[in-house]
Amino acid sequence: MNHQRIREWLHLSLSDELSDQERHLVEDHLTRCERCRLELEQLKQLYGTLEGAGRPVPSEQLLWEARQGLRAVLRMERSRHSLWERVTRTISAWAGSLVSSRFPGYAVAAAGLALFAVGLYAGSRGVVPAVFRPQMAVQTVSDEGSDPLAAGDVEITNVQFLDADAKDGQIEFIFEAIRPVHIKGDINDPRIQKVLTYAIINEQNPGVRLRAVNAIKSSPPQSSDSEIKAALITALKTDDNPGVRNDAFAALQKYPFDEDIKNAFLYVLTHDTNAALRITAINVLQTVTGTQRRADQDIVNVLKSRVESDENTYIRTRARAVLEEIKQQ
Amino acid sequence: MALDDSELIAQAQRGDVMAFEQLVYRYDKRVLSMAMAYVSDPEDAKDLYQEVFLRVYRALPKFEFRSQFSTWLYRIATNVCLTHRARQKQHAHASLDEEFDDENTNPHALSDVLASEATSDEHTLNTEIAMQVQKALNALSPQQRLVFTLRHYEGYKLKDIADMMECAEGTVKKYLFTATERMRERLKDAYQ
Ligand SMILES: [Zn+2]
Repeated sequence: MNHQRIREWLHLSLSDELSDQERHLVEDHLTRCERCRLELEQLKQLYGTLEGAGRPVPSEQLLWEARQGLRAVLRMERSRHSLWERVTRTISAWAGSLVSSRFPGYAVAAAGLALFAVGLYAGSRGVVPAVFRPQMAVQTVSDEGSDPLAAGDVEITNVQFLDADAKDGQIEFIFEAIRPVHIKGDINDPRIQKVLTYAIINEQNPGVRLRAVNAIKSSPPQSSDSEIKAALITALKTDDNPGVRNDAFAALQKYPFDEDIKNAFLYVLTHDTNAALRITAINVLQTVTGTQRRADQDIVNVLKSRVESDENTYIRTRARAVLEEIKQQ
Repeated sequence: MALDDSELIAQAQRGDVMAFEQLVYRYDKRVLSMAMAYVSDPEDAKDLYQEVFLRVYRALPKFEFRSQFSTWLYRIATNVCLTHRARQKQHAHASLDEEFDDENTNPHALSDVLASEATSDEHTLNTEIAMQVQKALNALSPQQRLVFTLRHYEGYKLKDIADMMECAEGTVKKYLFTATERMRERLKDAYQ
């Protein structure tokens, strides 16, 4: 057994990566070899040093920032790459279905992609400009009455030729047809909810996200729709705009207080960089624990950690006060 | 009820943004932790994190369930780590020697990170020794550093690391061995 091999195995034994057989060989060798015993001792010291030095650990705050950053990056990515991939995936399904009557002699594959500009009328908030990209809204021209080229206000963009040499008399291309769509309805209309959900999560413009959240705040859906609720929670936790987070908070207060909402509020109290929002979170939790007697261990734990570590004096004081109240219940 | 990964993936592949976020949130702590162990600088770690999930987002439509999603994700993550280092190096091109050997230069401004320790919990480490360990780590090749941090900081088995890096386990062992030997050489004064 050569020393070089044993030296490698000594490392592996300290990393707990040896097979039983290898470990036996090492142990056996160690009983007979002074040099390798010494080597092992030195390695143990090294590992001790490394352990003692600790390691860089990401904080919850860093995770929060990373998620916010990612959201912004993805929002940009979505708006940039809009629909090309989805088009190519579905195009074979209806290639050639288009209109030999419209373009005689050619079979044209056209992707009329619904990129709806949506006018949202929610409550009395007025028009919210938004762009809506439904998830699978590739429209085919052969669909009854939904020829995207038939409407007068279609804008054709992003034409890309798939086969332009036309030797066989066939031309194939795809394009995006952008058409303004108005939807009017109340908050319980699933179409309205879908657009709102989309806008809250994807819209680049914080003003639009704000208005979408506001629309829900001013008239919350009767059935507690989980998709909108989930979108609000996502916005509350990760929107980079404090105004949007603030209104998402207010909107969520209109929903029945449950585990999801509790956790979202506790998340704000723990992680949000905006002190005003953390204060709102404390106030709401105080109401909930006071009037509804719904204090639980999660809430108590977060309040305790705020008492200890919030940088804001007022929040530390408030957290202590609410904890006192809970104790007296 | 929580959906399993494949359901979330299928939904995300159909363009469901919320499903994608849910999927991300299942794994992103580990990815960030891995990135942090590897680069040690919080800003760099955030960059890595975003790059990883942007690539995941772009590649997801082509994900075919041939491997575990987590395996696939960590492969992307290791790839991003290894190429990120290359980018850094280009930047610090002029001061390569300093970067590795000089007292006062550190490509990740580690001293800043460690100095800010009092105001955040980014580091459980402190002291001179931690600085020296970081410096020794920075002097390793990207592969050596990645294997070392994945094994010793993140606790992955060598077999799993080989899978992530798509190379033989023997190769990973070699990286780990060389990395540890080099760390030892550099840290001699610190622990002897
Ligand atoms: Zn020996």
